[in-house]
Amino acid sequence: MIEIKNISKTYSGQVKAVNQLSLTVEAGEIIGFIGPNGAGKTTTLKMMTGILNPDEGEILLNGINIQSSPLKAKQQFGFVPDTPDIFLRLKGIEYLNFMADIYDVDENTRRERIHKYAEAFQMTSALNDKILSYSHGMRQKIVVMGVLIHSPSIWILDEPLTGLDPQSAFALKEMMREHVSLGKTVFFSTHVLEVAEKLCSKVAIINKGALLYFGSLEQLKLDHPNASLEDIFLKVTQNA
Amino acid sequence: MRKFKALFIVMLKNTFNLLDGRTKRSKLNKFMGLFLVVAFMPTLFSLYMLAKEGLFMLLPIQQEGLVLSLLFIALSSVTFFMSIFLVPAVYYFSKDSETLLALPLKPEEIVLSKFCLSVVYEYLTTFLLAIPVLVAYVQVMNPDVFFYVKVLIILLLSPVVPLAFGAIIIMVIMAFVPFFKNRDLFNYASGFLALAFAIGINVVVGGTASLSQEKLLQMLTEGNNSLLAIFRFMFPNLPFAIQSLVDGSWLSFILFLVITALVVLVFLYISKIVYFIGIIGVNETAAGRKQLNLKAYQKETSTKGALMSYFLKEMRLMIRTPIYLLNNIATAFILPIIFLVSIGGNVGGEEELSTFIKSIDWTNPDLLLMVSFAGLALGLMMSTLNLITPTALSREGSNIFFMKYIPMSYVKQIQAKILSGLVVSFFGILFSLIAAVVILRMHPIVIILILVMSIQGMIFMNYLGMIVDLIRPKLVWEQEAAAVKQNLNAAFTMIPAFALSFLPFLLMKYLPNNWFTVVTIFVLFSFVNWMLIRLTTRMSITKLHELEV
Repeated sequence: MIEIKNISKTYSGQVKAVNQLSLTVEAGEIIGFIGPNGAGKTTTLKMMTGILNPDEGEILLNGINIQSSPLKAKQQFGFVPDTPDIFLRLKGIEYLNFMADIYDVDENTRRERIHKYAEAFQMTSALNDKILSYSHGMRQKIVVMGVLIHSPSIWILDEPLTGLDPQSAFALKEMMREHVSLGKTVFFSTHVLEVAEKLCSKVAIINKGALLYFGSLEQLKLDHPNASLEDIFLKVTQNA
Repeated sequence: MRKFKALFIVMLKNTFNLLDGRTKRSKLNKFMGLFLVVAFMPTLFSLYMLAKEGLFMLLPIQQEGLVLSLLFIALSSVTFFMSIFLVPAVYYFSKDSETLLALPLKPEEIVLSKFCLSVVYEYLTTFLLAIPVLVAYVQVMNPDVFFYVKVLIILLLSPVVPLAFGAIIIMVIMAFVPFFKNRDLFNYASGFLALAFAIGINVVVGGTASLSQEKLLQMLTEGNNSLLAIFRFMFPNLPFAIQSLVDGSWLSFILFLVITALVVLVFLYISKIVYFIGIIGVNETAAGRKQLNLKAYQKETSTKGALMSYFLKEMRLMIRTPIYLLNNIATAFILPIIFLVSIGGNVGGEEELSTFIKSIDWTNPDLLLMVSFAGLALGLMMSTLNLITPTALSREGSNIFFMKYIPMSYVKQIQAKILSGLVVSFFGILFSLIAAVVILRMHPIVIILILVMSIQGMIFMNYLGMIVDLIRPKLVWEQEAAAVKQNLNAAFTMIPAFALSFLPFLLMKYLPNNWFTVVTIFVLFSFVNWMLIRLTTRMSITKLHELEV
């Protein structure tokens, strides 16, 4: 469960990136976080994960406050950042094992999971190579695997499908569905409306730092009859 | 020409906005900048005094131009040497290379912009070295007003020829030697070549150290020795530049300009032919794509614990990044080798030194303080030269956000980073000690004393470095090299390290030479280190919490 209560963030004392944003994500939900470029999506995700400190408001992850109990809160989620270019000179397997050590995953479980996810993402033969030699999509896969290895109850993903080949994108989407079917939570940002439509139980639309809509896509469509999803999105964000 | 201008301006803005990596300038940063300026003053002043004395010595024999010759030869040689590292980084391995290749630009337009950028890069070194010498020259020689105009133009153009030659050599190598297209291999190869060169210079200088001043002067004034001939061949515009400054000849000045322009034209012509051959495919990395066997898989996936795993990550990234390997790790081995080669080599050959070493009575209590201070200095120097902790956060660059979202306390992460610094420093100390034991045949007690004191220096320097990087991490950079080489944090830790290494020797005669003093110093350092460790712990939490990326 994710509770975001009235958070705001201003950069350099002038640009208000996020303004009084509040929303609650119940367990068992996949939330698509949608908005145009520069809307405040990544800033929100960074505040949720402790990378940025909100100027006001609070964020609770499974009831734990990320500001007052950061270590406990960080155990609750796995985060996929928007750029997968991290620790490029480590081998894939070294990165995964490093993440397993950081998140205290026991030896048998980590072996089992690395094997399982490497098969699912077709990364088995690449594990022994340096991440530097990977394509963008492969780097994205290894970062996603680094999150899955500790099986966090909340997944926070910043544009996770960018650069993935259709097969891997399908595998990740299936994993998201499986994850929420176990009563866990997925919160991810995306630009692709079709993905949100097919995958999410709810969407949160944000523009200029303010939450414009939070609810199911069905309801949004009912509110705007005879309009395509794209039209609705443009209408909602333009009226902000 | 329009495209070149646009490209050059963009590159210039991009580079120099990034140069310091910070947009906000705190009071502390301003203070540190001032500290750096003050710290450099003694070096600049000694350079000025050296030039002045040289001029007074050379004036009676009408060889005052020699000071300018040496200055410009030094500037050109340093620039040429730097170009071996600068050219690959700027021309081939910088992040913008692939973007530029996709734009409708001619090779010479890209190369000329990058060339001008590297000329600007060199200005800091050029002016820093030249100003003290030129101030002395102006004071002693009192030249006419045209001298100032000419010297300014010559200084502005002085990096051109050495950088063009450096770039031509590198461009030809990159185009026709496929091995060097791998950035890592290139950096390893050029780095170790440079180190070998540095050691070689050390040996040669060690060999000429016994030359008397008169003999050295005679060698230089003869003017026809081979070294000067090589420089004349490499930098053909220099003799004209110097002549135009010494006797005010306008013809020489024009010849200087013409030769400089010709070299640029040749350089551009060659770049037109070879630049694209070398740069295409330059950032590709080879991969085996071989599946791990069961044994290797089990070994790679064994549990190590968070702290150990983090430490291993730090070490792996340092060892596998050529620029970090050369700057952070190699120093632990290089200094003991230089020590062995330059002193050890002479011990066998020079009777005086050999007899002197044999005559040292290591059990003599008079040596107690000296040995303790030597230990302290060893620890300080070996820990500051590797630059590991003052760049520990800077090296993370834009990936520093990783430190903020993982469930590992900031204190523990910083400890792992410091541990990497301590381990490499310790090996540096150990290798130096082994070299010293081999050459100087020290008594076991002396070895232990040096080791114990050096560990105090090592802890002090590593924690101080970490604090400096916590205060001012340089996180915005284009190439890994910038995190280490263009990072002023290095200077901020080196200056106190040098001061603390040499100051005790100056104070030695005022201190009682006994075990009480040694123990007092040890206790004092233990206390200071304890304070530093506490401060680092506190700052790890506050600074990393405040850090926003």
